[in-house]
Amino acid sequence: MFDMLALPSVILVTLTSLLLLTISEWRLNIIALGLQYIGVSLLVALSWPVEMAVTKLVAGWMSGAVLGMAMTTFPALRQSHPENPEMAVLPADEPAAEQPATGYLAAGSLFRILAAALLGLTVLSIAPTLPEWFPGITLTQAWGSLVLIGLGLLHLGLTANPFRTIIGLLTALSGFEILYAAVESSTLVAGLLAAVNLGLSLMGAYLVVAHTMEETE
Amino acid sequence: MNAPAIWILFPGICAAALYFLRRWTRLTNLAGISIALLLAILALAVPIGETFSLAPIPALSALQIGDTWVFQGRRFILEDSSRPALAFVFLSLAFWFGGASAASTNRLFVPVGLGIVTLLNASVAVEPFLYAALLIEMAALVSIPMLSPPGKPAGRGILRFLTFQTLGLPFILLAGWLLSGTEINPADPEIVLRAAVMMILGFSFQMAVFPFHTWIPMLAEEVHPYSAAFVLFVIPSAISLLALEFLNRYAWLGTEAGGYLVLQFLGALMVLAGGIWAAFQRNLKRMLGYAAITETGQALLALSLGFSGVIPADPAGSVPLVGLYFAQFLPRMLGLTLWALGLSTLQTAAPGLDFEHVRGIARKMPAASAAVALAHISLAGFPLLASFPTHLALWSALSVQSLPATLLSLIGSAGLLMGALRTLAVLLTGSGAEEWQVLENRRQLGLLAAGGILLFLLGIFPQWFLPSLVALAGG
Repeated sequence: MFDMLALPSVILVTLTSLLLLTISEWRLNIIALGLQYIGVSLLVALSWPVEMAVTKLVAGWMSGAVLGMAMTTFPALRQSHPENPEMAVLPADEPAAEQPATGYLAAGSLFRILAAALLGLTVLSIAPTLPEWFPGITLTQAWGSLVLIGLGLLHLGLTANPFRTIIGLLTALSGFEILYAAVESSTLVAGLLAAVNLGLSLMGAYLVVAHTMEETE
Repeated sequence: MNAPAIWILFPGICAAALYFLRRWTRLTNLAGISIALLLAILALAVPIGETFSLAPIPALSALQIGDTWVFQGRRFILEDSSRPALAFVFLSLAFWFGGASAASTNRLFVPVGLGIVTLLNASVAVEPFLYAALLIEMAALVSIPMLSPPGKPAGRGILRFLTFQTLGLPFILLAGWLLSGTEINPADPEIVLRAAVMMILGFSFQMAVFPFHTWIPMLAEEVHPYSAAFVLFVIPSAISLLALEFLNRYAWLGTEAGGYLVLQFLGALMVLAGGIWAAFQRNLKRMLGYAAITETGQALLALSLGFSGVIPADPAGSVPLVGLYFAQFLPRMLGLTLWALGLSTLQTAAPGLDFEHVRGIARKMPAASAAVALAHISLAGFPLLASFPTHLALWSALSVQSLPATLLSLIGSAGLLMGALRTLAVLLTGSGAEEWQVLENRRQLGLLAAGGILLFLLGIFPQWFLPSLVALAGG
C-alpha cells in the first residue's frame, strides 16, 4: 500500500521543505513541518513496520508543537519590549515574520527558489546512485531523503535565527532518517532518533524564549 | 544491582533532582560534588562482577554487582576494567564542580554537567558501540541551557555548535553501519573507502577539525568561560573516545586503510591552526577556544600513535603508545579549568576580555592573571608545567613515525606560547600609576593558588599521575 504513496510523499516533502525555505511566517512553517513529517513517515514505512514508522510522525508533530508553543509566547514578549533589540528572536539580517513582503524579501525568496532548483537538479542526478551505496533503499526514498537533506542544509546556510536553524536541522535529519531506516531497523535507534528530534525542538524552543526568561545568574 | 544502574542511572536521576533544586545554588554545588565523589569512591572500592561483603551488615554479607544492563534489547556494559576510568571521570567532575561556585557559573552548571557526564558514560557503555553517537548528540543538546542561560540571547556560536554536532551524527551512524558490513566482507575496498569518508566527515564536524572549527572560538567568546571550558573538554573527549573505539574495533581501519595517517594529518593541522590563530588573537576568551582546538589536535595525534608500539618509559613494556592519549586528560583538564576560572574571575573586574579591556589588570587581580598565564603556558607544553611531560612523550613518539607532523605540532605549540606571552604582557602593562591590589575573594584566591601549585607539581613529578592514566589504555 505504501508503495503507491511513495511518489506523492516525495512530492509532499519537496513542497513542504521548499515552503520552509521560502516562507518566513512561523505559523505556516509549523504547519509545513507537520505535513513534512507525514511524508517522512510514509517514506520510512516503505522500510519499517508501520507501527515503528509512526514514531517519526509522532516525534515530528511533537517537535512542531513544542516549537509552535515557544513561538506563540514570542510576539507578545517582543511587543512588550520594543526598546530592547536583544528581545527580538529574529536577527537584524532576517526578515521578521510579521513584516509585509518587500522587494528585498521577494528577491530573497527568488534566490532561495533558484538555489533549491539547482539543488533539485543535483538530487535528480545523484539519487539513482544511492541504492548502490545503501542496498534496500528505493529510488523514491532516495529522492525524498536527498531533497530533505539538501534543502535542510541550504536552510542552515541561509539563516542565523534559532527557530529557523532548528527547522533546518530537523529537515536535514529527517532526510537522513529515511536513508537510515532502509539499513537499520532497531527499536532503540528509532527511540534515540526520536529523542534527538524532540531534544532539538526543545532546545530550539528554549533558545527562542531563553532571552525573555528571568535571569538566573 | 548492576554497574550501569550505579554509574549511569543513579547520576542521571540525581541530575534531574538537582535541576529542580537549582534555586539553592550552594546546596546544588555541594550535592553535585558529594555525588561525584561518592561515585568515584564506589568505582575505586567496589568490584564489578565479583562477590564482596559489607561485613558488619549480615544481610549484605555477599553482594555482587553485575556488569550489564539490558534496555530495549541493547546492552549497557561497565566491566571491572572500567573502574579506574569511572573513578577518573567522577573525580574530574567533582573537580569541575568544586570550582563552579568561585567561577560564578549559572545555576544550571551542576545539574546539566552531571547530566552530560551521565549521557557520556552511557555512550561509553552502550553495545553496539555505534549508538554512542546518538548519546553524545543528546549530551550536546543537554549542554545548551548551560551554555546559553536564561536571560541571555542565543549567540551564533551556540547555534553553530548545535548544527555541527547534529550534522556529524548521520555520518558517524552511517560509517558504523558500513563498517559492520566489512565484518562480513573486509576486503571490499569500495565499502572501506565509503566508511572512511563518512567517518572523517562525521568526526571532523563533531571535533571541530579545520575547516569546521569556527564554532569553537565563537562559542568561547559568547558564553561563560567556565561553562565553555567544561563543554570544550568533555564533548571532544567523548567523541575522541568513540574514534578510539572505532580504531580498536576495526584494527585494519587504522593500519591498512590509513586511518592513523589521516588522524596524524588532522591532528597536526588542528594544532598548527589553533596555535597560529592563538598567536594573533586579541580576546582572552577566544584564545581559550583556540587552545581547546590545539588540545583536540594533540589528542588526535596521540590516537594516531596506534596500538602497535609500546611506551618506552613503561617499566612493564606492555602499555600501547595510545596510552599517551589517556595521559593527556589530567593536564588538559587542569589547564582548562584553571584558565577558565582565571578568566571568570577577571571578567568580574573588566567590562570585557579583549586586550584593551584587560590591560594592566594584573595590578588589580594578580592571582587570576597569573593563573590565566600559567594555564596558557602549561597547555603550550612549557617545561616544568603539567602538560610538558605528555607533550614531550608525544613529540618523541611522533617524531619516530612522522617528522613533519611533529614539526607542525611544535610550531602550533610555539604559536600558543606566543599567545601566552602576549597575554602576559597585556595583563602586566598598565599606566604604571595604579597601586597593586588583590580584588579576588578568598575562595577564588585559594582555588587559583591550588591550581597553580598543582600545575607545577604535575609538571615536576609526572610519575605521580602518568602511570595510572596511561594504564587506562589497558582497560
